[in-house]
Amino acid sequence: MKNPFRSLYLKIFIWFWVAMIIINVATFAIFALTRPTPIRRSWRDLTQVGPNAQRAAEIYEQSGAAALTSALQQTEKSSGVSATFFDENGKELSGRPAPPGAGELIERAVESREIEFNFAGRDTLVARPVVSSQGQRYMYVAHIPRTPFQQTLQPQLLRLLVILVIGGIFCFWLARYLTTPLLKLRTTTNELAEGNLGARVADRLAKRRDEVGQLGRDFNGMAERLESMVKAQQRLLGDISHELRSPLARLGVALGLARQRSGVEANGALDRIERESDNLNEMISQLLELTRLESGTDVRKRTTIDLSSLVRDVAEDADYEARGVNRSVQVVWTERCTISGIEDLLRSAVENVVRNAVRFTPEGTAVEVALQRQHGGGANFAVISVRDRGKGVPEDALEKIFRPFYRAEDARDRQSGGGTGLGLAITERAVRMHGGSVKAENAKDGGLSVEMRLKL
Amino acid sequence: MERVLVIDDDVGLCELVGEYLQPEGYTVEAIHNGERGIDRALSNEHDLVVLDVMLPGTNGFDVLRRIRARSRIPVLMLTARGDDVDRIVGLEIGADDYLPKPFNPRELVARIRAVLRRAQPIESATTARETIRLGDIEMDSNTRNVRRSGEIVELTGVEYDLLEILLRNAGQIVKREDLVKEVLGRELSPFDRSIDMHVSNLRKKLGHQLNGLERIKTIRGVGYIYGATAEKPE
Repeated sequence: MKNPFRSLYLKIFIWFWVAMIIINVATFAIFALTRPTPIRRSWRDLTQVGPNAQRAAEIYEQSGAAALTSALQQTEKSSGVSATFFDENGKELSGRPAPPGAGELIERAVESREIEFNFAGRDTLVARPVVSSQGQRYMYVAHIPRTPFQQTLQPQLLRLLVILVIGGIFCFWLARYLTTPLLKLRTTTNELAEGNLGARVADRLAKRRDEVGQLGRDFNGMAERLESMVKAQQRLLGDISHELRSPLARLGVALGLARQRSGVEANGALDRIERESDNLNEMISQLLELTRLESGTDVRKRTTIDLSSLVRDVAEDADYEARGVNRSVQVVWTERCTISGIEDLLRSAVENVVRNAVRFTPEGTAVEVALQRQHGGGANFAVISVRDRGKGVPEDALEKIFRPFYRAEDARDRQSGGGTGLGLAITERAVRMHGGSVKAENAKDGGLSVEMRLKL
Repeated sequence: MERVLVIDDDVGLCELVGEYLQPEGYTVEAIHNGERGIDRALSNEHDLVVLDVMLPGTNGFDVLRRIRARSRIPVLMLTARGDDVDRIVGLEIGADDYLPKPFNPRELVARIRAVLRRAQPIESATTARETIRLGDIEMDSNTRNVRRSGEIVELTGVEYDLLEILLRNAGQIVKREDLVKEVLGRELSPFDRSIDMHVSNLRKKLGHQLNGLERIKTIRGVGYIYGATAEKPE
């Protein structure tokens, strides 16, 4: 999880949280934009219209226009309702400006002698005919403003904040609830991939009744099957090696007996039998090694390996062997490199390439072995190169020589006791298992050069 | 005639080995299962045991462990070829040598001879009773006991011989081929790492350090040296 914003946990958390906030803001906005004049407030103001009109008429008749004006101002201050007061002839008595649309409404009220409303605009306009105690007719016109928006914004913000916090906590738990089992599953998967075949998802997860629980149970089922398959494979490998080698072991001793009891004239044939049975035995070993490598069931421990001493050891041993057939192996360059890996495997990987080179280099020449540190693509590599002086390999076969039992067209080497055909295949798999690669190429001045690159 | 006990489930192989060893001067008793093999190995009627790692029922290592708990009879292990784990485990438990199966019977005879020769008490020779002392190590050639700082260290026959040669030549390089010849009784062949394995086991048992220096130093490509700056043993 390099980028935390790519984690499912954060995604779920942020998406749900943001969704929750957006829904709330949207609901609030729609509500605020479409809501009618706050009903409670309007009703209270409307119910006051009648008594206020009556009171205005009394004040006007008893105390005059000035008192009316101040009373109306008082009303506007306390309730926000601005009222005007007209006589029978439609003349304004308080000296206050008539609200727009008042004239038309007054006409309607005069005609019907009833209270009349105008809801058309943003605000409500009410015209109320009133008869004073002295029998005079007046018209009270009230302009009731819509409740200002600002007044309710603050509680709305508080509400939003509460949603933000509670929603946040809720989303946090939701995201955890959804992703924690996934993380656990991932840990177990990694364990399994690293070769711990007994890795299983914990009961707590597997016993859940939801989809994640199902996934956990399915995973356990899969791991179970994998384990039994690998175990069966390992058992088979053991059986093969035992069953194939038993007759070979008997053959070897019987051969010894034949030598004890026969004359010199049988020696050539017996030598041949011995060589072929050795070859067969070597092939079984390598085939087993290859199978083990390809099935990925190697359980040998990884240790820290000093590559330079490994390369030197192999070269020395190979040199000793090569001198017997009038060839040699030289270490031309080594650098200090340590790597974590399976020592026996790396040793046989290098050994196979060197021995192969010894087989193909002409008499009297040397196989050159080198170990170099290289830097490339942000990583350090150990590069082991082995180069012979033979005829090389046709260009189109350069990749094929790492296939099991591959023989180059010109297969005369077979007669000269040439290997099992598995050595380079083992090398390729062993190196790949250590996170490296193998490449073969023909050197410009003749001979094959095989390069093993291992990541340090 | 020296008596060899072969513990191997392969009846045919046992017969052939018996037939082969007869003219070489050994009588062979063959046992095909581990439990009986242990009984027979502890009967004191044999000079050497040849033990197969792959046994049905009781596994070869368990057999070896149980023999070693009660007896020092020389044991030659037969291991699966290419299985280094078997080899290392076998030597650690206390096998005197190992031979990968399938083997050449000549090789088997050579190994049996070498192991038996090592097992002979050397009392008749010039050194009737000798104690080698060097640093914290004390070797009693009579009882073949090794003590480190007074405490007995359990060594196998091979490890004892190896330590003796290294101590006698303390401060000098002992070549690998000489070690193989003297200790394992055979010629050093390329790709044979068994002597290194024995040295590594010896290091483990005696401790890697001696007075803050490497106890047994590897001279790459040549051999080993015990206590590079040590004085000669008494």
